Amino acid sequence: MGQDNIIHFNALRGRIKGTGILRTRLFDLDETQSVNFPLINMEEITGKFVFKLINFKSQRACLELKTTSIDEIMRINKLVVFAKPIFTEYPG
Amino acid sequence: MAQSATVNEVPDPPTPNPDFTECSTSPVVAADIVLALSNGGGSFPTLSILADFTGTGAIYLLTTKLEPLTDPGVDTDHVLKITLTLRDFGAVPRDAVLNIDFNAPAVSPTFIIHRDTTLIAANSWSGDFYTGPDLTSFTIIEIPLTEAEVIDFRAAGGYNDCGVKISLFALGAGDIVGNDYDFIELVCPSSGGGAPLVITGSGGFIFGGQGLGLDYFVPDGGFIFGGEALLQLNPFEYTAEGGFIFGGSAGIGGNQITGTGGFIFGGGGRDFMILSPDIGGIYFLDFLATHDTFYLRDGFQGTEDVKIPDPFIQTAYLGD
Repeated sequence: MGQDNIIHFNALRGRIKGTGILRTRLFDLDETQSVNFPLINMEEITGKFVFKLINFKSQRACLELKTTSIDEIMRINKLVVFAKPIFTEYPG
Repeated sequence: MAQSATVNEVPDPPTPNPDFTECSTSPVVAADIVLALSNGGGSFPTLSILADFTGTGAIYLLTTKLEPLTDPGVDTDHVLKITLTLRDFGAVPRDAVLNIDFNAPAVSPTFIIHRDTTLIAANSWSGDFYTGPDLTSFTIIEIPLTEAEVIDFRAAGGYNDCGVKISLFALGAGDIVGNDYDFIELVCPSSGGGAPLVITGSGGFIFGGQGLGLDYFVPDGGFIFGGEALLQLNPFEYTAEGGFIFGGSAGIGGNQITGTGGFIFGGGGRDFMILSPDIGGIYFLDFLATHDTFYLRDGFQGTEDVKIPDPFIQTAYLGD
């Protein structure tokens, strides 16, 4: 740990409720690359966790969640980002 | 007697003309009548008639038909024009009364014209007395028709069948009067498309009325469009101070007011964009609110709900 490995971010799971569409993405340091999760249609009653797959490799990743329309709201109680180190460093 | 007649000469009777009806209801009338009709090339008949007679209550009638007109579709600016003169053969000008009966089959507004300016409170009449200069020379008398008279005139088919009947009354025994006519003309507005509307100065327009429940007032001018029908606007530009109020139940969906700008209605839809309302925002903490609210200012009241600008959450950088 602490070696700044290159990590494969591959999934998102969370307890997400609300109304409207939740737009979710990952981006790396300085936002040189980013990738969007599939859109999440939020509902007040879901009865399950939301699980979305993704394919993103970077040393660091920031998760962003947002809405863009009026009267869209999101309630998030738990988020799990699935990740696994796959490389130790970029080619020199 | 006609001025051209000699003592022993008896003029020939006038040639009957279907457009004219001459009659005398007074036994003292012994006028020689010289009647001529010509068409001066205009849109109205030109006629000249000489009628000399004497005696109180002497009556001479002239009836002529006007050429058909195209209904202009408006009820204003209808004027009956008659050019005539009253001649007096005595040493002292005498009074005479012209009674002009402008008639369609079912409408007969009547106008009485007096030789002098003395009003005559006799006869049955509904028109105006002529109060201009005396009629010792040819004078154009213009008799405007009221809107109600035009409506009746139209309903009676007057544009296709219209006549003018002129009665001449001598007011005193021994009076000898005569009258000459140059033309009789009914002037009405042109039909067809109207001229472009040009607005200058301050003021405003009200389209609609009390009957539709509209009673608006715009202080600095402007327009009020009201009514139940769909409002159809051609492109126009309005840049001055003022505003518009569009009212009505169809097409617009309520009243909208702007202070210093206007509206642009574009495309085939019914959405519109408010260009320059004076609105501002202040956040009121409301736990249940899911949007922002703008409040109209500068004398206007009301609110406008807008979205919160893209609310988002970002985590810290994830990594090992």
